[in-house]
Amino acid sequence: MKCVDIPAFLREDHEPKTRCERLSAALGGFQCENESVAPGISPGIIALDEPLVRYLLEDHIEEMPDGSKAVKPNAFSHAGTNGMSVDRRRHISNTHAAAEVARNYVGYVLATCANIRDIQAEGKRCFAVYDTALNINPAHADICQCVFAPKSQQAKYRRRLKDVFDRFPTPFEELSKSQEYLPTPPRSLCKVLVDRLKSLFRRRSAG
Amino acid sequence: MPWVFGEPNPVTRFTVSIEMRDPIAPGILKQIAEIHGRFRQELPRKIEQQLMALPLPFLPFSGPMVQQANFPHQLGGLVFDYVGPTGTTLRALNLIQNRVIYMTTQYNRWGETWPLAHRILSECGKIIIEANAISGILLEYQSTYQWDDDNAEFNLADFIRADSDLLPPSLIHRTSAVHSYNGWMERPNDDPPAARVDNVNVAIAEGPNLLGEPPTTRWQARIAVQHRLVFDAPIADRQQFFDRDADAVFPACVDRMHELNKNFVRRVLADAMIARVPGLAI
Amino acid sequence: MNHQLPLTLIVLANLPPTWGVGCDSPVLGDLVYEARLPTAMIDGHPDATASLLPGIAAEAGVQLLGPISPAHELDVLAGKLLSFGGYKPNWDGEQACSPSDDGVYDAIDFLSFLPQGIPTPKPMVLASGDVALYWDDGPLYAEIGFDGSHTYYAYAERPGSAAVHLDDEPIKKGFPPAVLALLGGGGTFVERAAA
Repeated sequence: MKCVDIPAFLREDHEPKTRCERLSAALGGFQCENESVAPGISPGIIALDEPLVRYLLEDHIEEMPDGSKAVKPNAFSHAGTNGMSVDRRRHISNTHAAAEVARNYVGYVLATCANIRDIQAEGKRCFAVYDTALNINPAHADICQCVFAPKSQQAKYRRRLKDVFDRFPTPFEELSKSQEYLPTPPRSLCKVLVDRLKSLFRRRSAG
Repeated sequence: MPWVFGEPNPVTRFTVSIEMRDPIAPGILKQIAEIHGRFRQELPRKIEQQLMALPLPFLPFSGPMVQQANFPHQLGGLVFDYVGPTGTTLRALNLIQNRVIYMTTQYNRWGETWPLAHRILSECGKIIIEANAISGILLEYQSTYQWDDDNAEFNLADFIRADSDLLPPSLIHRTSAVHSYNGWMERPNDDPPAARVDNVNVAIAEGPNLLGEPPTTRWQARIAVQHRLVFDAPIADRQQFFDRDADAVFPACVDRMHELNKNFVRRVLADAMIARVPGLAI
Repeated sequence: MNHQLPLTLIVLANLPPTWGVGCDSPVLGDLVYEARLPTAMIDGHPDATASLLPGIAAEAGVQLLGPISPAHELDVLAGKLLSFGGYKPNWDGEQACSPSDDGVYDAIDFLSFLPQGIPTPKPMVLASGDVALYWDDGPLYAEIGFDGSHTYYAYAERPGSAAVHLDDEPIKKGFPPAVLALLGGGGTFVERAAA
C-alpha cells in the first residue's frame, strides 16, 4: 500500500471494525507520517507540536453527579477500528466549523500530536497520526491504532489515548473563539507562500 | 376540553395477574427463571430475589447481634422486566409469594397488549399449575387525567358522568380534592363458579409540579378499576385453564373482565371523555 | 420486659447468584430497619418498636413491608444499556458499529453480579459495537466489555497495583475478583440496599 492510498482506505473500505488493524499490517511501520498522505489538499505533514481536536457527540460525554462533564472512553474507540477523526486546530476553516455544528457536536478535547505518537505499550508505539485531509476539510487527520492484542489490552491503549487528551470537554462554540482559530477559507499551499512573501516584503519596506 | 390525558391513551398502568392457592415453590421459580430466554426481547432483564431466614435471638435490635457465617437462602421471587433510560419500569413480570403479575405502563390498545400478557402468563402459568392450583385472576386498569385550564374554573363536567351509578351523587359538584373508593363482591353467572370483587376508585388531587415551572396547583385525576375473580375451587387442570385456545378459562375470564372494565369506565366518565378514549366508545 | 423472642425474619433480597458460603452476612446491628411488632409480645414497652430493613416478610408477627428492590441507579443503568439496543449502524456518523442484542443482554445479565460496596459503573457503546461498563475517577480505571459471545473482557488499573487483564471470561463466572480488589469493593447486600 502506498501512503497516498491511506485516506481512501480509511473512508471506503467495507469492514470498519478492522480497518486500522489491516492498515497497520499493510504499512508495517510509521513511514507515512513523514510524508503527506493527501498532497495537494493537506496543509502539510503534521508537526509534533500541533494541537489536534477531537469533536464530541452527546454520547461521548458523561454528566457527573456534581453537574460537571467528563469525556467517556468511547470517544476514542474509533482509533482501534476505522480510524479516529480529528482536526488540526491550526488549519480549521470557518466553513468546516459551521458544518460540524450542524452535525450536533457538543464539545471537543485537545491533545498534541507528539503526546499521541509517544504512547507506548510493551515498548511499541500504539498510534499513528496521518494528515488525511479532505476536500471539504483540509484540516482533517486520522489517528489509527498500530498494535492489536486481546480486547483487555485494547482497552488499555484506548485509556492511554484518552489520557493525553483533555479530561473535561470544552463547549464546541469555544472553538471559534480560540486564538489559533483561522476564520478564513482553506487556501492552497502556493497561495500561503505567496502571501507570506508579500508580508515579508511589506515589513522590509517599512523597516 | 379542559381535561386532558397523555396520548394516545389515558391508561397509565395495566395489570393482569394469576393467583395460586399456595406460595410458588423455589423449584418452580427456578424452572421459570430458566425459560427467561423465551421473553428476552420483551422483558430483557431478569432479577432473582432470594428468600433468607434470619434467626434473631435478641431484642432490641439496636444491640449487638450474633453474626453467622452464612444464612440459608433460596429463590423466593422473580422479576423479568424492561426499564426505560431513566430507570422507570415500562413492563414487568413479577412472581412473588403466590402471584404471577404482568404489568405495563405502555398500554395503548387491548389488541396490542393482551397477546403479550397472555403469552407470558400462560408460559409461566403452565409450569406453575403442574404443582400449584390456580385460585384466581386479577385485572386492573389505572388511568390518569389532568386539568389543563384556569384553576379558578376547575370542575368535573365533561369529565365525570353526572348520573354515575358507581360514584356518590355529590362528586360531580366538587371543585377541589375528592375521592370515592367503592368496592363490592358479587357472584357472576359464569363458568367456572367464582366470586368477583370489583373496585372503582376515583381520586382527584393536586398533582406534582412540572420541573422548571413555578409551584402551582395542577389538578390530576386517577381512576383505578379492578376486578378480582376468586374461584370456588382452585383449578389444577392445565388444559382447562390454558390450553383450550379462546375457550380456556384464563383468556375467557380475562376477556369478560376486560369488557366489564370498559363498562364500568363508561359508567364513570362523561360521554365527552368517552368519545376521546381509544377503544372505549361503543 | 421480655426481649427474649425466638423471632425469625424472612427477608426477600436481591442477592448476587454467587452469594453464599463464606460471603459476609448482613450485620443487622449496624443497620436501620423498620418493622412493627405486636406490642403484646413485648409488653408494650415504648422502646420496643424496632426498625427493620424494608422487605421483612410477615413471619411470627413481623409485618411485611415490601421486597428489597435494586438501588434506583441500577435501574437507570439497566435502562441505559437497553436503550443501546436501538442504536443503528453508523449511529455516531463515523461508521460506528451497532451493538448486537446479545451484547446488550450480556451486559444486563452481568449487572446481577455487581458486588456491594463499589460505585455504579457507567455504560457506553464502543465504535466496534461492544457494550461496556466502566469506572473512571482519574487514577483508577476499570472497564468490562461485552460483544454478545456470553463472555467478557476486563481491564483495570490503579497506581501502585498490577494491572488486570482478562479476556473471554464466561459471564457466569461473575464479577472478576481482581477487578473488585482494585475498585476497593466489599461489604454486604444490606449495605447496598440501605444506601
